[in-house]
Amino acid sequence: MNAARRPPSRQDTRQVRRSQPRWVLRLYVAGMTTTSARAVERVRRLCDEHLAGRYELEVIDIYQLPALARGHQIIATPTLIRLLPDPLRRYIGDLSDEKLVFGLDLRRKKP
Amino acid sequence: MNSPGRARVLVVEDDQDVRETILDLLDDEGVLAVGAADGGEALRLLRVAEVKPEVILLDLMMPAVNGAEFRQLQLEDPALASIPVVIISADVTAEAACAELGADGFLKKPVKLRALLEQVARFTGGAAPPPPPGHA
Amino acid sequence: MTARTRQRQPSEIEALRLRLVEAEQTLAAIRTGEVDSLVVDGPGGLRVYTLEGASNTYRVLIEAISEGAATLTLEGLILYSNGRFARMLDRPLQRVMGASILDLVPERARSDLDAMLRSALEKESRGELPMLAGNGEEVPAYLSVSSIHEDGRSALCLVATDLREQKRNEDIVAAEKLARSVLEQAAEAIVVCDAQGVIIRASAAAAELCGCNSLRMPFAQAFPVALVAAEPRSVAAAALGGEVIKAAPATLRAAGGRAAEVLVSAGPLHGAAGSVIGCVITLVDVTQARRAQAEAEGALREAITLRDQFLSVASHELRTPLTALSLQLEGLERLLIREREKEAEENGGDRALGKARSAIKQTDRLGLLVEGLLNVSRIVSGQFELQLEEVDLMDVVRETLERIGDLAHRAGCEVRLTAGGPARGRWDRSRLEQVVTNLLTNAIKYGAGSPIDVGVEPGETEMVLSIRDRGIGIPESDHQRIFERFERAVPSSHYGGLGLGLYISREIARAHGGSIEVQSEPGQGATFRLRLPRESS
Repeated sequence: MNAARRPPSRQDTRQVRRSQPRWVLRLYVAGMTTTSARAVERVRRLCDEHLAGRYELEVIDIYQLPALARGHQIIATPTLIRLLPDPLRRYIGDLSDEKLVFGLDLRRKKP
Repeated sequence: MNSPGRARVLVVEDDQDVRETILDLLDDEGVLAVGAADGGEALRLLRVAEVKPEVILLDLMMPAVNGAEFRQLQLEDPALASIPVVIISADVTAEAACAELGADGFLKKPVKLRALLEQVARFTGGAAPPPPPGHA
Repeated sequence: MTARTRQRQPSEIEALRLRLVEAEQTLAAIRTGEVDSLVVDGPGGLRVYTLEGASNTYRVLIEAISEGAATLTLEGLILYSNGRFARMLDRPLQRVMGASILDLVPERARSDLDAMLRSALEKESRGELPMLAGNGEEVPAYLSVSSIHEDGRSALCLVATDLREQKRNEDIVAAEKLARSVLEQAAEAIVVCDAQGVIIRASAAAAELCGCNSLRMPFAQAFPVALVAAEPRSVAAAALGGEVIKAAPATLRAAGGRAAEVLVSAGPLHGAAGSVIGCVITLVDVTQARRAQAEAEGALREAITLRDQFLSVASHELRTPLTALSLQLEGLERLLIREREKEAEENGGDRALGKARSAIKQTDRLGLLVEGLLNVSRIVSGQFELQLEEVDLMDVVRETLERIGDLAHRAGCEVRLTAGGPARGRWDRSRLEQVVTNLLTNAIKYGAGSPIDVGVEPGETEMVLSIRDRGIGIPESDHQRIFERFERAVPSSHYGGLGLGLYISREIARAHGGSIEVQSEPGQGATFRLRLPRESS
């Protein structure tokens, strides 16, 4: 991981968001496990690469915020839910680049 | 001067100089007077006297039997009670005491000669002595 | 395909297909171990079954600590955060997790933070940095960043301390220290009670006043205080009710302490919400002050009484010789006028002369009285100076006896003088005359009709003059009093005189470095002894 690289600031994200369709994502994790950490990293990376400036991401720790987990019938972590755009998509498990892209129906990378 | 005899005035005053001066002055006027140095001596003289004096000049502050005590004893004795008393005193409150003691007159020290002679004349029936010329 | 199947909307089918894919995928993920927990929503709430070995203890600990804690990537992406960190910044936790920490500090602090993150790889880095709360306010924070290595990966561990909190705590601690030192040093009894009137703090002076350790006792029990001006009521209850009492006089009868007169002040203590949480009561012990005041008042009253007594006696005494004098002069005048009208008779001449002499004697008498008064005022105002010269005491005694011989004779007092020898010394002659005159005239006055013994005993270093009368005597209880100003050991209506003689005489003796003593018993007469050092200082 290039230490010099910095995730884009929220400020940038907010400014760009107005002009493009918005993605709203919810990532549910179980506390501070390796898997959770990996999930957060991957999701964030993907968003910055493909959705820069037009996404809103919330990371919900089901231990600390159990109430928020109930709404979407989470049965396992990590779970990523795409609220917007429609339709609602749900992805569970190893949030590897490939699967996420496919699962979220993002623009496919050219192989 | 201490034989009661026919003295018309009894001077009861503990200060020797004052007493003798008054007796002297009365003598000058031809009034027979006798003196006592305290209330006890005064009572003794009165009881012994053939003829009671016509007036008692009484000082209040005296040793042994003082003026007030003397007055009380005098009033208790029917033979003496009727003798009029003129109080001589330097004390400011004595004037008030006069009423209490039922005195018939009051002379404030230092006593003026004329006032003294007037008071005595009231009771001895003599005419008030004419004031010396030049006096008010 | 049936007609019904064909009638299904393509979107419906698509939706179903997706759900199928998701279900399959979920099961696959669970089977292959890609999930780390299973969540079961039961009647008791959410149940999480962890599949990975994340230690529960540490998680609970991190969630509970009072510091903000987070794990970050090396670039500053927040992988995990505890609730405290989010609360500190007044942001929802779900927004903090997954955010980059650089977005959570003001612009000017970003490069410092970046440097901190980088240097944390080598060694833990710490520093104070402002952070940005959700509403844009700055939050002073102390950050501590260290690196962790797990499963071949590196990440950063951050602990953030809210300095606002610390500052508040410091203020509280400082206030505590201040309060404690005030209580320890206060000279007054200061007592702090809780809302039930139970004492929770008390100054050292309070312990002394109630004679006990009053902590945990109800105020009324430790300090039974009765307000002077009001009906009996509880001071603590009044203060807790919001009443303010300022320096109200009261009496305190503490069981373990002493009875005291106090001034009570009290008032309520209000908490953050404005409600009464306790009260503060101060007691100032004024017993000493009151006593001193009462004594001073007593002394003043006594002084006034003495002065009034003196004034009334003085006016009587002064008027007596004046009476005689003025009558004599008037009599003399009348006599002279009569003589002018008649021829001068020898008789009349003698009488005039006699009257003149008497008049002069009265003026002498007045003069002595006035002199006596002046002496007192001089002695009292400290203008008293001795004029020393070689004096023979025997001379002084003989001269005095000559002067007052007349008085002695008339009183029937025979004066017998015994001299032990010449009695010379350095003294103030005229003052000495005063003393001898005073002692002799007293002896004559009070010992009339009996002989008086005068003795002069010269000694090596001092000289003693003794004068003994055989009068009524002086009881022991009055031996001191007779030397005091305006004091006489007999009622003033029975013996004339200003009561100054012995006072002045003693002051003169003392000024010479000597003394006057009396030896007497009722009915036994009195002996006065004047002692003078030969050389007075």
